[in-house]
Amino acid sequence: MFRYILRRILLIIPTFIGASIIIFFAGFLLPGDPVSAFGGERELPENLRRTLEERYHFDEPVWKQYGFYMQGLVTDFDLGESVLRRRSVNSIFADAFPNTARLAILAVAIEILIGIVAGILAALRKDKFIDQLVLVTTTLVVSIPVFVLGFTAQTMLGVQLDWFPVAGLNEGAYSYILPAFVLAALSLAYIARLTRTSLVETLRADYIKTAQAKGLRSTRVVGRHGLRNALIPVVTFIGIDFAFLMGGAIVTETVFSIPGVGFQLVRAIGQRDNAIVVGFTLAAVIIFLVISLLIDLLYAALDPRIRYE
Amino acid sequence: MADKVTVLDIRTERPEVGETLLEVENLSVVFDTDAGVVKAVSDASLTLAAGETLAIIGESGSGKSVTAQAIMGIVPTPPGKVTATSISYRGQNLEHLSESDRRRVRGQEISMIFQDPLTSLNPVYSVGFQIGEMFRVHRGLSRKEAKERAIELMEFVRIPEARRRVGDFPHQFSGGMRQRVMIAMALALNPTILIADEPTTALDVTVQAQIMELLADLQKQNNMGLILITHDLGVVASVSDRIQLMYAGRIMEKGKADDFYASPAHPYAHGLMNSVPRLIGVDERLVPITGAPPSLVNVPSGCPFHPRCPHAVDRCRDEVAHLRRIEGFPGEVACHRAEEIRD
Ligand SMILES: Nc1ncnc2c1ncn2[C@@H]1O[C@H](COP(=O)(O)OP(=O)(O)O)[C@@H](O)[C@H]1O
Ligand SMILES: [Mg+2]
Repeated sequence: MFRYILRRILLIIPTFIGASIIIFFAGFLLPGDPVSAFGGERELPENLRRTLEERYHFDEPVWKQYGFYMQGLVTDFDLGESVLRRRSVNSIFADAFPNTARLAILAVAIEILIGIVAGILAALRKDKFIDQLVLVTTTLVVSIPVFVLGFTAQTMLGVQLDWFPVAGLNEGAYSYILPAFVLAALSLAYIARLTRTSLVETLRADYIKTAQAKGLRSTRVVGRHGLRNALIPVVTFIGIDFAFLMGGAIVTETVFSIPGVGFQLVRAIGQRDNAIVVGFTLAAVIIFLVISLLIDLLYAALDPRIRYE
Repeated sequence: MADKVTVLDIRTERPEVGETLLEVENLSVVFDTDAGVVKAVSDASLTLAAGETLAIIGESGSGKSVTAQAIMGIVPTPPGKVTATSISYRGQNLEHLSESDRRRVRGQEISMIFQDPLTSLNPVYSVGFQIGEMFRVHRGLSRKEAKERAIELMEFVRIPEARRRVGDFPHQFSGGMRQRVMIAMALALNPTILIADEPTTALDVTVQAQIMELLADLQKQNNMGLILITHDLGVVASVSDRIQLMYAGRIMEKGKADDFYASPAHPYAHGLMNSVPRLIGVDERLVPITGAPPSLVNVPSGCPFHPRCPHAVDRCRDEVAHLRRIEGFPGEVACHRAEEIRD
């Protein structure tokens, strides 16, 4: 077990280095000169330009800039500075992240609750009405692009029926419900399918026959012996999905104007504010790596065959 | 090592040797599948007495496991459908019991072990949990008490270092040890009947003998009725009292094991014997049965063995042969031409 954890942690380091190089250099190659952008329409005076360039190391070769950046990141968790907004990327991120996190947590809760229950019902009533209903609904959801779903939900439930706020976060927790459903929809459909398939498969296993032969109630056979095994791949998927959502939901946050990580990222791309683009993307990568590490540990706890490898 | 029967659950009464425990009459099981209706078991009957070992022998796919599942009441329905004149345990028709009463019989009165102990044990629970579950669910013991009972049972089935290994998971044991875990679990509540479905098929030859020995030993200690299911004539030869030979879901021959091994009556039995090298004399040639066992979706008309039978005549094609007694043979055989063949 200890070696499994250690190996898993050590794997994070090269992954992060690789990802950071790609992100940093891609950010560097993006069009736009941060110093001129700072001045907007006006031409910057030469001495100010030079001061800015020196302060942010823009005059150094790109690999040196990468070195400075990584140094700041590792020692002070410094994601850089947006010249354009005259703010540190850290503080912009700190403002945006809680919105994204709340949205992601609610979305994942919806996925778990509805997705798993629908999957279990479909598996237990295989080929019956509920199973068909789940199949049709999930196929429908999967085939609709997220932005179409988002705009449709916004127009129908927000504008026309006026059940939910149309956009923004002015109505507290309630503002998150509609966007969370839109954000959850795709994964929810996938989780329902995955749970169904996995449970149907598991209930065919020999150890289910054993559990029945032991004289256990069918609820215990399905719940204790079936689900516990069937949910292993589902939990893994949910974990990865959660890790991914915590990095920002670009489409959903944009459609519903939620000032989260994804929303800010889109805005920064529009403004060619590469410091934010690079900083946010790297932060998303770090969050993803850390959460997926935790998920792997959870996976090991669920499946003893991994633990003792 | 733990002391013999005291480890097992205390029961107020044990059946006496010779008491009829199980009577199955005219059992049929069909499965409605996409490929058609599978006639897994047709018109099979059997009885079992306390202290007795009945071997059910037949090639793979002949309906042995389904017969066992029907007795346990764990045939999946649908797609399965079970019909029988009766399946009775100590005089009580199991089919008339409510689901909760039937569950009480399962695992406590009649229990079962399966062919592949690795896939038959749940990979995510420790063996101690899986054995202890019997006591927790059926006897309401606490987790701690159940664990102690599990350790005793593991010692009882001769698993070394039981206390240290009680928290280990199935994949950490060898095949033989896993089957011992299955046996411990099946015997936990001291059932009167144990059904062992190919208990040694997935194991190494050396381990096979140990498991058979263990089963025979345990059976003697508490007068269990034992049903041993196998496709391997050799495995059960020394331990069984009676045999029933199955083919395509039907019982083809039944009788005392000694008589069967000395001189079987059914042409199918002859074929099987000839394909087991160690059972024939040195100067006899090995002649395996030609052809393959039939698909149970399209069971041949009449006697299902007729397409592969060297003695088949028109009557065999048209008319099902029922089990019957013939002169000069102590058992029963389902063959129209049994008398002629014996001469
Ligand atoms: N759940 C099921 N659904 C459909 N067919 C089944 C099922 N269980 C068993 N069968 C069929 O019943 C027949 C007898 O199987 P089985 O009793 O397992 O044979 P064996 O003698 O090898 O134990 C086989 O043809 C098998 O495919
Ligand atoms: Mg079988």
